[in-house]
Amino acid sequence: MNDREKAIIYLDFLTHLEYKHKRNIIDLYDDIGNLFKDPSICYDYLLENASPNYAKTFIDGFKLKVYDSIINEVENGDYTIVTEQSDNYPTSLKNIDFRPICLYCKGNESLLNAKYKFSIVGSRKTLPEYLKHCQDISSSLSTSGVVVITGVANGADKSAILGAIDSGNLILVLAGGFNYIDNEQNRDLIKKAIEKGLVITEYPPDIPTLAYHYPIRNRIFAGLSQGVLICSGTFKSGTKYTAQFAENYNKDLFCLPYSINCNSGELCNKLIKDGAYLTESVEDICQVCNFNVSKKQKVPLTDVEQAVYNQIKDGVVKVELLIEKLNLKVYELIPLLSSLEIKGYVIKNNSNEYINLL
Amino acid sequence: MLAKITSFALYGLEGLPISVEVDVFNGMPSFEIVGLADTAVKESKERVRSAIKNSGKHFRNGKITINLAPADVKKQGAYLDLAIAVGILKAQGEENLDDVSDYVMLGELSLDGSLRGVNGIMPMLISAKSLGYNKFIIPKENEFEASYINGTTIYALNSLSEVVELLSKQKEFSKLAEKEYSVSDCEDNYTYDLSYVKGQAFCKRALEVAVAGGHNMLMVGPPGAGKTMIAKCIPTIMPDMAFVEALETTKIHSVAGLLNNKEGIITKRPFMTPHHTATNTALIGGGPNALPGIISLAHNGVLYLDEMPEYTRSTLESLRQPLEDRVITVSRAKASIQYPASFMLCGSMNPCPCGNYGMKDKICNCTMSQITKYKAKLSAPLLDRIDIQVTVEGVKYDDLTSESVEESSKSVKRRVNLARKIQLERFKDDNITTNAQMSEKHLKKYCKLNKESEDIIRTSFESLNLSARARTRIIKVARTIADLDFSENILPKHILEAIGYRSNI
Repeated sequence: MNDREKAIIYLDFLTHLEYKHKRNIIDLYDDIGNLFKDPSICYDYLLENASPNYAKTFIDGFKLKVYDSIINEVENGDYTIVTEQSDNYPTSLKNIDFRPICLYCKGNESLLNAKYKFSIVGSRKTLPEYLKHCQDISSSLSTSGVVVITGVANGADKSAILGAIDSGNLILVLAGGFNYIDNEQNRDLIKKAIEKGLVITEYPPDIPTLAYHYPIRNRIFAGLSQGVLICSGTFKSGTKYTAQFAENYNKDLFCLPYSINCNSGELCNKLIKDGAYLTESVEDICQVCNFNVSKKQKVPLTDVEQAVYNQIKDGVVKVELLIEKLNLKVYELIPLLSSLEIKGYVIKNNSNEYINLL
Repeated sequence: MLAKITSFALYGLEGLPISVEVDVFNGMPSFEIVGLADTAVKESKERVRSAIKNSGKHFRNGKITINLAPADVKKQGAYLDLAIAVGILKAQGEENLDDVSDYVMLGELSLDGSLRGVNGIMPMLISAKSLGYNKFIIPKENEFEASYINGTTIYALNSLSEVVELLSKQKEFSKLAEKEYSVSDCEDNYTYDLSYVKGQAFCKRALEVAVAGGHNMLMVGPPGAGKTMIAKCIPTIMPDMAFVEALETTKIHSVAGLLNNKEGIITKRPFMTPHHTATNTALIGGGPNALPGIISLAHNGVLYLDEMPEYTRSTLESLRQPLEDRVITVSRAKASIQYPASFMLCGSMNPCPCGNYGMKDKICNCTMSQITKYKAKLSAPLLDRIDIQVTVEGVKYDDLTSESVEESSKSVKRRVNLARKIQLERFKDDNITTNAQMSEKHLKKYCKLNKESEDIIRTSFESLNLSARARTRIIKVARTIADLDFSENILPKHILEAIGYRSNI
């Protein structure tokens, strides 16, 4: 670890110092490695722009050589740090505003510089059929070598994780430090992702996950990836920040389309109106982003299943109506529907309707 | 002179013979009752004195001592009144009451000398009969429940004077006519019928499977979807109560004092719907005398918990043990009593506190943490005991008015009866009766899956994100579906149908 990296790590561990001050301090030095030789520039800056308390904390820590123990701690920790001065800092992040100073990583660090990266995000309240779409797209992308980037919440994020976790092409971005992983609802998935893929955060281990971190964190999704898929979202949900960042950073924005009056997808429809790509399947993403995704082979259907599926494709989604149209008994129909569901042709939503997935 | 009369006291669901010993002799007038009597029994001396006088009999002013033996058992309730009064009359020696010792006497006295009905007559008579007693005098009010006790001589009388007339052979009374229990009693007297439920084909089939295999069921759906109406149809498709079952249920209701005096025996399967503010004690049983709770009253029937997450968590958790063991032991300071509690649990809930979560065209205003909290009320071990979990969706107006003929409860019940018969035959050596009660051992023995079925389960776990716990539930339900299909082996289509009965909760 060189001096520049050490300096940045020390700065980042001044946890109460705001991001803009850290940024300014880094910019003040021609070479941030000189922080240790000439701490007075930093001290003066803090005294002038931040509060005297910060300046005191900084210089006291400096005199006591706190950085040595920090570096020591970092080197012995079960995580690694990629600073913006490191060689493996992702190029895609280098050019964005407010790029993270440090990325704390657990897992396969090389994924940060993978050639193809794509973000899939959405709200916690996503309808089951859209969760299924989300998982399918995530799984198709990741198995063909595209690294899927997503968060760790329930709903769309979780589906994206489930789709990608087996292939290992998965980056999860946390909104808090590593010491707070156990507080997450999907901690088991996160731990699995550490083993198979990569989990990153811009917060030092001791920073808890706070609500206002989420919108800030969302810039990493947009920054790291070539494109962003929005699975669901209302005008209120945090997903809209991801969409904004994607726009600001000139990334491709993809949205799943929703029917009118569907509250959980109002953001997607609005974004499509504003020019986002309407996305029905993974091919729509591949065409724009030049990903090379092999088409998934569906399991063939039997004749009866095909008959049921044709009806569903024509919009007959209620069990009662299917019974009427196909002249089947309810106990003959349910196994067929389950089979279609398992083979991935349809999905049952919370209203007992079977929705065509293809 | 000393008189000895036999009566009974109630201890849980068992009757205990009590010997009422009365001694009347000259001395300072007094009236003492000894032998661990509670307030209602102590107070009987006032009722007895008035009843004797108002029946036109002489009440001698002497020293009266009454002993209730065995002396170490706590006696409760007013059913010893009659025995005490008859004992006094006999001890006074003024009436010709020679064969009183043949009879077991039960009943509460009114001040005018008439006999009032008491709770728990049926369990007391059943115990007495098994102990060899066979002549009884009971209040007329209790004649209906007593008429199902066969092979005994029971006189159901109106007043103390009638009892004296019977005992002194001044007048002939006809003994209580015995009634045969017939299943036809329980038919056609339900208010609800499955044919009244329009649409909901999926849910109705799930209900049929649940009842056929004795599986507990959870319905998830928005308000007004018809969950309660469907649940109320459960008793109509449950198999008819056998006499033994009817007796068991009647005994519990008799002890709780909830028996309808018109019918005497409970022929309809009970359907209990406690309100969600019900306390643990109300549900499980208790109170100072360890009375049965709602789950015991639902024995052989249905316990329907509407809006399940609104119950307190401890109430729901307290159901786990009775769901597993099918009995509940209620322990209190004065008693520790085991009550049967073999019921089918049927629950309903909304998908979230506001009820619209996951519905396509509706807006859910709940935050995610509210929803998580709401769902977390049902713990995983409790959900493990609920084999069938289905979503119920509100029916559209067009379906409500459509002329399509829905299947009646009667024809569904026929299929359920056949499936239950297969299960009884299968489990005759296993000490269980339904598929829902199967343990891991039984699953291995009776639910062998072929390779194709195993493959279906494996792929469904991957593509539908099922939890590992779901496997046992699916296999149990598939076993019931196979029984409904008269199939000895579980076929892939049965597994597939079972996979259909799950909700996203």
